[in-house]
Amino acid sequence: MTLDEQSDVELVRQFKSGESRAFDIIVERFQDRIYRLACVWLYDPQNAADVTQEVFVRAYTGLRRFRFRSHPFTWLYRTARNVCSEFNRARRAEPLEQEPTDESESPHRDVSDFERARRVRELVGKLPDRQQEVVMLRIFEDLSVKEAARLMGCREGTVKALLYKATRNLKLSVAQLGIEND
Amino acid sequence: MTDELQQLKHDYRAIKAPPHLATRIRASVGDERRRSARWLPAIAATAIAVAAVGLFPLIDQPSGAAPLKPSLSTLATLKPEKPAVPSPSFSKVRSVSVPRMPAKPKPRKPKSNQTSESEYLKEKDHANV
Repeated sequence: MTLDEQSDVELVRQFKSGESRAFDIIVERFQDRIYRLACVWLYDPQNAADVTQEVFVRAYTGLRRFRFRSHPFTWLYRTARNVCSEFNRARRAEPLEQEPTDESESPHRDVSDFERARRVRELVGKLPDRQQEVVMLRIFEDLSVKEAARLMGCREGTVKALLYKATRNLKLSVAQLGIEND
Repeated sequence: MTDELQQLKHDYRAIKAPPHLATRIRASVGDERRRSARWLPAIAATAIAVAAVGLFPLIDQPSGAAPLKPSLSTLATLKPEKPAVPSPSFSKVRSVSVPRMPAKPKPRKPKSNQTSESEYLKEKDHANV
């Protein structure tokens, strides 16, 4: 079996045993998921690529101490959350830069991605923090209730209740947005 | 799941990391790897130095070996170290305190009792002569 075909856990095991190519595959496999999270969580989403880079730099040293008590993605998720919080704390004091509306203003960034991220942030950002998190984990990332509960540090029942409230609020927000756009 | 949420999920999943991001990450991880490895030569050198200092007294000196005589050129380069005593200022030189002169010795007083008695005896002897 090649490295590309191995499971996430097996890849981390290979990386811990000194296989540097395994880390490259971990990056390729998870970079989109971490980047998306950063796009939604960041106060200034233009830094999403920087945050993703920082998460993987920390993963390079941190995953060597990984004990396989959870899925590697949950470790990356937690690290991404911490890095985004650090970035937001540093950025909140500064004035928010204007998001680019034209491709010529930001040649390195796909504007359609930016628009999608903006739309998702607009809807999810209105929810309380815990509801935001449950939407990201359960709806967007397709994690199980058990995994989401472990990541959020709460009971499975709490996750279900939060998800119920979050979907109800999201539907309301989508409906409101539809009326405003009409 | 409703259509709106499906659409939202679809939008979210369509967000992709920029194509150059993996290369950037690889480069920064390489920097990190080098940064963490930069200490190794210094640590190795320190360990070797400590080991050398520790082992130095254990090395047996050859007992019969004649002591090395320094060459003249080596001796010429050696400078005698001067004691770092600051030269006194002029005012201090003027006001150098000279030790006190010893007090003048007082003239001896004759011991009154003994002298007068001996003189008395002398006179008495003269008178008897």
